[in-house]
Amino acid sequence: MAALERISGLAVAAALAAAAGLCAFAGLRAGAIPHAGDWDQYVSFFEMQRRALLVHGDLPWWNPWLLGGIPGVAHPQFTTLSPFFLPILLFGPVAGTFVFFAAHVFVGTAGMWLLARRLGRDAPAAAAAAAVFSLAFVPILAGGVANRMNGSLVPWLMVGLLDARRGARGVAITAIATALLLLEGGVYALVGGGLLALLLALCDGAPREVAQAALRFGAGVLLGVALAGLRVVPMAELYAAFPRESGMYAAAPLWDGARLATLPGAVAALLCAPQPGQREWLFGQFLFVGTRLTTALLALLLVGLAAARRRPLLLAAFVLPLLLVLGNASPLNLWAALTRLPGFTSLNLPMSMLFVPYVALALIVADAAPALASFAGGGPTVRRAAAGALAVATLAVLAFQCAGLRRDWPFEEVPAAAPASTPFAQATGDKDHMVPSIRRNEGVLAAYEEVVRSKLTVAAKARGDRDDHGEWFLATSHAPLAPARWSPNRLEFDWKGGDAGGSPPRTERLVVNQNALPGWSATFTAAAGGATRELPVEPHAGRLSVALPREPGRLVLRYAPRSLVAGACASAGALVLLVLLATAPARRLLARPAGGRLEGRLSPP
Amino acid sequence: MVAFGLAWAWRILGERQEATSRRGYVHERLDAGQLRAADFLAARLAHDFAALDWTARLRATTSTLVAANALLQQRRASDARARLEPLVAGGDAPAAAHFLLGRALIQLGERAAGEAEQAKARELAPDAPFFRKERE
Repeated sequence: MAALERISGLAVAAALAAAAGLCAFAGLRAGAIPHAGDWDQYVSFFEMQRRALLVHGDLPWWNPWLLGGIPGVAHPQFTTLSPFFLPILLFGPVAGTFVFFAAHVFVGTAGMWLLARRLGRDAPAAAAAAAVFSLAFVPILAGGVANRMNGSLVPWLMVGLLDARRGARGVAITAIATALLLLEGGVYALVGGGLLALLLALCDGAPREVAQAALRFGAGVLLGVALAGLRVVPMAELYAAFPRESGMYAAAPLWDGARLATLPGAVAALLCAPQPGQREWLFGQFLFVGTRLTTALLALLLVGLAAARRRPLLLAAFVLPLLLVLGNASPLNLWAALTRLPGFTSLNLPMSMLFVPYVALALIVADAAPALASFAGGGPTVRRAAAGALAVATLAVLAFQCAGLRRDWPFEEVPAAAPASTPFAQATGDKDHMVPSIRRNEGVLAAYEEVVRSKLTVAAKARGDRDDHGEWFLATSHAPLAPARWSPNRLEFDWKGGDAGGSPPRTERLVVNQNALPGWSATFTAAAGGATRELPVEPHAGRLSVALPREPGRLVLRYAPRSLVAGACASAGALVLLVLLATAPARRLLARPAGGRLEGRLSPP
Repeated sequence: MVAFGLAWAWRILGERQEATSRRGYVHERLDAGQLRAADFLAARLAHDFAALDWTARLRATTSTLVAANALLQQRRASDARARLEPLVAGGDAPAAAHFLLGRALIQLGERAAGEAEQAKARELAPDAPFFRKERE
């Protein structure tokens, strides 16, 4: 692809990202965040991670601010290890969130542009496809669901599949897209994108082509999983400790004929909702997301569907993911079928895969404008102009919808972040206003958190509770023993020595007011010198606790999950493999210029 | 033009079906005794579909039910009755309106009339756990 081509693709993506970012966030103050949907939750997640890194100098393996203490980096809603987190570090959790969002729009639309070009669309049609795809971000933005914005990487998985059939570069693209998704906890986007890629791979031609496509894409995904091992292995450990279920889908019928009558309405409600965003319950489906294509684009979708009648694979790539995303609202409940398969039982939010049907939808709508121009007797120039006009008009729709969100958002005032010297304290908090608590360095026991909460016993006590004796105290006397150094993962105490009295003398215990979950360890170094020794961490009413030696010394409590080393090794090994993929022998070995038949089957009608 | 007409009709059909589906869910919340949740959902429904007259009426109904329930908790049964009776007289009141009116009448000492209203509520929503609990 020529440099000029690349630049024009990047310019299209930049224009869309700028339109979305500026229209949604222009004029917002640093001390206020939108107070709608999950905005407070995700900004508070960003705040915790940023605070741990910049204020306390810790990579937040442990998160003391939620539910009395839970794993941090392993948590699927943490994004610390993702490059997309960089704006949060640079600009703070409020302004940074806006850049985070715009960066995802940029990456997503650039991927969609490249995919459209790979599939034979000219530059204006590719720009139109990118613009249509960008509309899928609006409901995610409306709800502030930051860890669904990673759907931006779904088009890159498709580009990875197309290229992997021909050479090493595609395997590397697949691996990098997979790793980025997992570093952001984008399990839904990865599963959805993976299923779409599988569907396409199965239609690549003869069995040999199918096998090549599936194996190469699968290898890329596996390499990506390993590359993100530092995140994936602790996340797997977390899910093993706190298993999730698909909830209502476990009992949902795979076929519900009654849903046939409401299917047209459900599709219209998903694609052309009165307001972009979420509804709590619609057509039997919990958390029903709505994008707003507008009537004009919906009309183009109809034209595009008619034009694509000789491209059954393109239609299938739209319809099947659409039915999957509709979940219980679809008569054929593909989501219920998927979540009954081993390994997928923890998935419970089909609308989280919204970006997946939007890949084919964007291509179909983009194809409609030149098809209409052609129908009206227009030549190649008119067709290109029609696609270009569609791109510009859709950009305007995106800007208008984002500005509409900003106009309607209520705002939550948040205080400035407390300095590192502010002591940490647990409080009941308010699940709808967590950001102010985190900024005060205060834990929120009644936190809004949907991954571990249902299976977690919160042992930590809130300030003022009946059994509250402070954040760190001696079990017998309840006297405080404040840490000499505090950070989320590491607490250091200077112990003056002694025991709990009695005859024979009983051992004194230190209790830390945080949940005693696996992964904590303790070491003690006597003040008189000698080797540092391990001490067992034994829960005291579910809280972290260590029996203190009689002699004075320094006690260090440290959190590092067992899976950390295994994950780091996997990441390092995968990184070496990724570098090897770039070498000439690997590129020669995987070169297969013929590819398969996908490009033809997904080409413009 | 044909495509535009079809798309317009499809969108309108979608909006009508969405509004109907959301109304059903508001009634489900009412039948579950979650009056505040129902009121919140009805408010959003009325905001999203201001062109449909019945959405504003539904919102007014859920607001009345929330207010009447608060009055009943304050033992101001006659005030609650004054709010609920016009609602029930309308003819298409949700089961929760009959149920709360029944509770108001019982608090006012009109047990037979109150139990009759609560029986109407159970008749309208025989599977609703909220009303079943009261019956027990």
